[in-house]
Amino acid sequence: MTLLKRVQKLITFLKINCLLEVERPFILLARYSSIFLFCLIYTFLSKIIWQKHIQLNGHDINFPLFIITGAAMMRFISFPLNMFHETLLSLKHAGMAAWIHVTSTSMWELFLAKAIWGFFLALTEFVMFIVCSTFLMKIAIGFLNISFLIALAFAFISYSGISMMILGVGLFLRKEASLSALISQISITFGGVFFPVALLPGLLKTLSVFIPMTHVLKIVRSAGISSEIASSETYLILSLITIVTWTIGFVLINSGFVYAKENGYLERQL
Amino acid sequence: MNAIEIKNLTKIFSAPAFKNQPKVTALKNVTLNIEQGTIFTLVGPNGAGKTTLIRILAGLTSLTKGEVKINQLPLNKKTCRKIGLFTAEIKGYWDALTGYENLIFFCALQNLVGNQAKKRISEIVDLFEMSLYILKPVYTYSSGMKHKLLLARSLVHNPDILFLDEPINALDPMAARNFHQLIRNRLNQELGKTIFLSTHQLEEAQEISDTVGFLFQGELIWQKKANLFRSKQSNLLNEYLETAGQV
Repeated sequence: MTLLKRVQKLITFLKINCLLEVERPFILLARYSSIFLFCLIYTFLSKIIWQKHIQLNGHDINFPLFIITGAAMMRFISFPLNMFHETLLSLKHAGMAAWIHVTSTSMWELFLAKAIWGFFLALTEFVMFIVCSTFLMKIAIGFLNISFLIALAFAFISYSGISMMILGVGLFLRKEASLSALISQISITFGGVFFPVALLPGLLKTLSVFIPMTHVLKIVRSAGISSEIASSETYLILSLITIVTWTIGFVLINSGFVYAKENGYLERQL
Repeated sequence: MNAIEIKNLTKIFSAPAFKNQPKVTALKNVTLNIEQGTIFTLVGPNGAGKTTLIRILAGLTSLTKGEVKINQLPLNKKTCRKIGLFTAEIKGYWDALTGYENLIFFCALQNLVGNQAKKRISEIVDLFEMSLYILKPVYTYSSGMKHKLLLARSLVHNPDILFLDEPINALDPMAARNFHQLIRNRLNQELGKTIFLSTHQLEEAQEISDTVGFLFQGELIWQKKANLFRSKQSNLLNEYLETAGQV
């Protein structure tokens, strides 16, 4: 198959993703309006805490910037984290999960289309955050900062690796693992979203090292404080986490599909 | 020439992970040959293994033991592309999209894009006379229309062999008759497709098939020419009940 045809095929899948999303506009609307709501609540709270600063990595970071970056990233990771099992669930819902495997298309092509679509949605939501934070909360975040964009890419890729692992486990356990909600909660609680990781007790502080969110936020907040680039150690750890999650996820998904095919339950609910 | 060759096919389902359940043998040493361009119908009670056999032959489920050949080549992802699968049990389309958008998606899955896809869809829409509703959302379709859409899905890549798993379930007698005619006259006789059908409708099996096979508790008990039943030399219902009773 030529590259042009492959691109045409990918565009067809993207169009289908878009059409299916347009059919449930209220979900998207709810997501965007929740950002608006978040900003309004924060506007109210900020009257009390506006001048507060937090010590982070040897820098002073003002509380509004700390909280808005955390909240924005919390929302941002939800797309990659749910991407893989949502793709399969959506195919299952339409009764096509097993059938796809006997067509000329690999699941990975559909995952790619979903990833591009998911990244686009996550990015639009992020832009919504920036617009709301600028106009409602008077916090200007320069999202065109290169560190910021790198952090977004890292967040997306590392959490999509975790999403692969979740789907792989789900395929073996024959039910939707509900792991994404758990991972999301762990990331929020121990990744330094709403309070600095330094405040965590010893063991949990160690746990936070293995959570991509911790490092993504370091990059984002470093960029936010003084447009500086986070230490190379942060990028290294994040890269390692990404490689590990992608490798395990890839193996789990492939063997999970073989297992599901052997036992003939791909059409049924995970 | 045989379109499908099955030799000593056995399928054992293992227990779910971390659950102490016994293994289930769904098919035992099934051996069967189906000639090209014919209609083979598999009958048998619920749980006999009909759907499992079709799913294995269509490549959806892997086999445990035995050999399957499609057009004399071993069953694999490549030979699976010679196969179309229709199963009324599973939805198989996006309700929110139009029939046309669904077909565009199915075509892309089979590597048909752009003008190639449009041309193929137009052929299929003409073949199944779907032009009046193809641009409407699928949730507005009747059961008969949805059946045609599923059949269209299974044919977008112009397969040689078509597997139909209980195709007329949920259809009224008129729609069922139309569906039969479509299978027999258009797909089998005009286009020369080999058709493998599973059903509980004995009349259907008798009317449209060339050969009928009886599957019971995972074993193929017999296979006979359907014209024996049509010419009243034998009665399919009696044969069915007798065999089920004896086994």
